[in-house]
Amino acid sequence: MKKVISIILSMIMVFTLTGCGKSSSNEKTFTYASELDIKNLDSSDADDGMSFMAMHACIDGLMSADKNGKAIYAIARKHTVSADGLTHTFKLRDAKWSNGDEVTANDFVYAWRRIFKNNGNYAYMFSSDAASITGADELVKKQEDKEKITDKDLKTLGVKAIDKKTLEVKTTRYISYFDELMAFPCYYPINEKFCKEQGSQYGKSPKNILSNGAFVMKTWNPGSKAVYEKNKDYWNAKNIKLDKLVFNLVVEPKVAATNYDSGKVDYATINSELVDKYKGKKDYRTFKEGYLFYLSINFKNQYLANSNIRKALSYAINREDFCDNVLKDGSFAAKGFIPSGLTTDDKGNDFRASSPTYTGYDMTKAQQYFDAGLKELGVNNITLSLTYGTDESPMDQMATYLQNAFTKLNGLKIDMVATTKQDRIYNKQKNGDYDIALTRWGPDYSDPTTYLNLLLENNSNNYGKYSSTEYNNKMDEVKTLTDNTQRWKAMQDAEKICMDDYAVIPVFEKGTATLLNPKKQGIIQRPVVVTTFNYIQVKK
Amino acid sequence: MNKSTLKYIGKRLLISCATLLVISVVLFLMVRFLPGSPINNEKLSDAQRAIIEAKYGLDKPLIVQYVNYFKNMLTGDFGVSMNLYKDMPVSSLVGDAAKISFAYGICAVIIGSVIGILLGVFAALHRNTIWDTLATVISVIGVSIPSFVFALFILIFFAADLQLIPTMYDESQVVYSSIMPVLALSVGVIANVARFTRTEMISVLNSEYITLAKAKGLDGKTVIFKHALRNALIPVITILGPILVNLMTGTMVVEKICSVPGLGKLLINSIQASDYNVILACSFLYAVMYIFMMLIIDVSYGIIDPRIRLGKDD
Repeated sequence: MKKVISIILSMIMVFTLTGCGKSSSNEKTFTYASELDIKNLDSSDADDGMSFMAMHACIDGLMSADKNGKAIYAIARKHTVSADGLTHTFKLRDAKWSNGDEVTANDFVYAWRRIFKNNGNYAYMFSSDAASITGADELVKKQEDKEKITDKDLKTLGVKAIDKKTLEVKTTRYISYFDELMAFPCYYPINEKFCKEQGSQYGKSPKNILSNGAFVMKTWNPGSKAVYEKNKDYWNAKNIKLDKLVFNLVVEPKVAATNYDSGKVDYATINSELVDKYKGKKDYRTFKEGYLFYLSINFKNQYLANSNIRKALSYAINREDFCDNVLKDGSFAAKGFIPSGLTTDDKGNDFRASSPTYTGYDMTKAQQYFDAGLKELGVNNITLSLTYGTDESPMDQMATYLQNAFTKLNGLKIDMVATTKQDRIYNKQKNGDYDIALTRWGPDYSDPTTYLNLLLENNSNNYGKYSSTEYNNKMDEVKTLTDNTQRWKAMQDAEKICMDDYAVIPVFEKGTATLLNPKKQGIIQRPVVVTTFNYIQVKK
Repeated sequence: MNKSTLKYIGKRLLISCATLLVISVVLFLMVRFLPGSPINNEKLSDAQRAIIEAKYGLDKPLIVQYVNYFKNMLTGDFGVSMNLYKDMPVSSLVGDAAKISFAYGICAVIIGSVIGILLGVFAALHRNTIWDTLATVISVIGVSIPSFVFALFILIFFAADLQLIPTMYDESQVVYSSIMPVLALSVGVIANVARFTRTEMISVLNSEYITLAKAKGLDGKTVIFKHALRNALIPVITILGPILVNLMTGTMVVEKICSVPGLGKLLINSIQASDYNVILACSFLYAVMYIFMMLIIDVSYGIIDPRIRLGKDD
């Protein structure tokens, strides 16, 4: 018996000592616990936030973001725009891929054309919906008409390598937010020779991807871990303070928090159940995701076509209560259709902060508007359906809260239509088979038009069929204006028109609650901007 | 092995293959009728969705999709991931994950059986004493509490608070970081094996040949280890196969808690992402494991005792 006990004790000692050796954290390592996994490292195909983050850790585009989320030069060292605002010339700096090749203008031309060649998700980012690059609309049209896109067609895209270090991009209209756009992953460069060598395996593992960014990916074990090391050949290597970046992948929030407490990770995303435990501590922080959760209104519904009914619904929602007491994850009440932190004017004023508030909670007013609406409609009570996807967290919580809030209005009955996200969008909303749908939108670029365009009469995402000539005219004006101040004012006017019409009912802006090691500050997480680790400073 | 035994094995093999074929059809249909879709980016236009669906063959009639899938599956090609790990071959994803789950399952069964047998023997030898009660209590706790609760306990107490073991799986320290999940998984095995061993051991110890062995003057150790335990272990061994399969299918939550990139975690993630090919491959692998284990058990029983052979046998 003594022998057994001594063996067990010595084993525990061995484990303990090994534990001490292994767990001593390297101070220049940043370990990020993620609930999600990296799906893909191919910039012409990836479409999720975690993959963007994983790519951005090792790839720089023409532009990047500074600590405040403003666009700054990355691979580009100079950007000039022609007098008519339609030709952008980027001079590239001396930067290298991790195989030693130079980063050239052709890497951008190849990558951008490749999106159309492979029918990538982000083709629309090149069209007049976003960057408005010449030829893109025609290529998107071909894609939609299921026509084959030939190499000759690809050459019509308005991107050209003037020489090795000069890239020229032509647009069909002046785009004031072009710099910000160029930081988005779908505009990243791809080394043509390397990509062709990898074939279909490009971007599927660390050995199938090249780095020109701050870190080089060393290992990636799907569902487990990705490890990066500092790229010594990075053009800005002297300003990168981390030696190693580690992503612990697919970690449950509770497990991530436990790991954070034990010092095994420097960053963890937590859920609302854990917020009370950490709120007030110096490690606790929240950031804005940039997603707006709102109600899509079907204007074809006879009751919802009445503006008093829509107004009543908006006034019946206690947004602060929902965010502070139900979600508790840093989400906050939406004040308009454009979320906060999306973009600033030339003086640094945030669009949301410098625009009026269009939402509020007042049950008395809500009932008054509702009664007025019922009177106009000539009915005593109405029934409306609330459609939501149960697979879209936190839509289920939102739906329950709204059902409760709306049924407080005398004369209103709510039918819950619980379905999947796919069914909600592609069957129910697309076919107009809904009354009110719970939906969300994440910005594609840092300009209010990423939201405002959704309500244009001919926009494919305008499922509720909101139609306002005044709004469409104002948006046409936004498109043509080249003066930033005037354009800013026109966009504010456009938002006022759609909000006064209650074209949609904004509910909340999504936030995320996280834990961050106070000694390793500097992670940049902002709406639209891809999370970057380049500014992390390690304090002793 | 006589002709009748070979015929029996052949028949069992055929039944297993037919079962797997039916399972593959049912699984294929169930996965296709799952709510949601692997292509769930709301910003895609109809045309883009159609292009992606065509790329993965989702635009074809279900029967054609199944036949293509089945044909490829026979060559070991389980297709590519449609959402979770875009375009990565499923066979390598599932293969990598299965290796870890298998290794954990086998380790947990080995550790669990050794400890369980010792505990069972100890309880049987000290029948109706405080030690027997204690061993029974341990067994009941082990059987009643799910393994993921143990995993959470080990995570919070041994990994996070005492920092004796890593808090999550780490491929650079595979053995060391596997302690937590393997321990959590083996608790159930210990309990099951201990209970079974105790019962068998008591029944063997009460048998006449043990009394004879004792009467012959053999010492206690020889009686217990050479005569009693060897006989008591035969039925115990038969339950290890099903326990192993149960372990592998029941590792999902433990894998989530311990952040182990195993088969269970991959299956859960693939269901959440509606990644058809990954769900199919994982579920089918589980089915193969079950059927294979049943086949082994049936065949070995049939060889040991021809009376047990299932079904009509001429």
